[in-house]
Amino acid sequence: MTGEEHNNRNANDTGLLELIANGDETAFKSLYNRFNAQVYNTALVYIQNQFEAEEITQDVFLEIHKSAKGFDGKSSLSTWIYRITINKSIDRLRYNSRKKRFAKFINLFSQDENEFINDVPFFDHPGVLNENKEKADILFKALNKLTEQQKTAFILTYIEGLTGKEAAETMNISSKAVESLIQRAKVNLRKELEKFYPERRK
Amino acid sequence: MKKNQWIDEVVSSIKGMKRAKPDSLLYTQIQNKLRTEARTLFIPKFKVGITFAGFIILCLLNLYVIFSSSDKSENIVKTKSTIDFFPQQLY
Repeated sequence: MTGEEHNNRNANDTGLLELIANGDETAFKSLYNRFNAQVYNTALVYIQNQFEAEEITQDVFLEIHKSAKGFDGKSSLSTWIYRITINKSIDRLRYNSRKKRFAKFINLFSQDENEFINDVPFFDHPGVLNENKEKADILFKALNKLTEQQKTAFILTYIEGLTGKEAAETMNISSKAVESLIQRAKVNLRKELEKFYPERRK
Repeated sequence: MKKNQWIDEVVSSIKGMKRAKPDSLLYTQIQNKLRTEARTLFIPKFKVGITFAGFIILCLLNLYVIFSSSDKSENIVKTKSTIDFFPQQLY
């Protein structure tokens, strides 16, 4: 994309958000059509639960509608939406882990062993090829063992296909920091995957 | 060696992965939420002002009643104690 095209797109996006802020439903629908898959897919890979990913998508679009006036156009619309999605997904993950910790604590006092919560269900991403589903599930489980920053960098670049620069802008860090996060993410992923290696269990 | 090959296969299992799309009814749900939020959140400023002023007046009236009644009861106690002190003067 040339500089002029980039500026035109930013101006169009700012205009679109102005229309949304003024209550234009057609503008909101066109924004939804453009970004719903981006938001849903990012949230789905983060949360690994279709129902919760839809809830996050809802929250993200409600937030966009509410804060449309506040969009300053300094970053691209897509970056702004990625940021909202990531923040909402991280908030949900933290809430879920608090809930799990509480449930485990309650289970310490419970007599019923069956009440123990199985926190690693099979995750079936609808976009993964059928022959890769099992391996992709293992990869997603290993992804959950990374730090929030490493996971975000990995999802943005490897799954959403952003460039290092775009991911850096989304995460509000330098391109070098993104590169180093991805390197560490790859190393840690391999370490985690070693634990999953089937022959090791035998 | 086999292990490394397996890890590489796992890492590349997301290659060619397509973006997942949400349920087609999700947009309608978002619109409904926006409408209900708009309905519940919009309260005219003057209504909020009137309610607040009413609440303040009610509080002031309550305070007035409480303090004026406590003054009266103090007066009654004082009069009663004077009568108790000089009971013969009444006859």
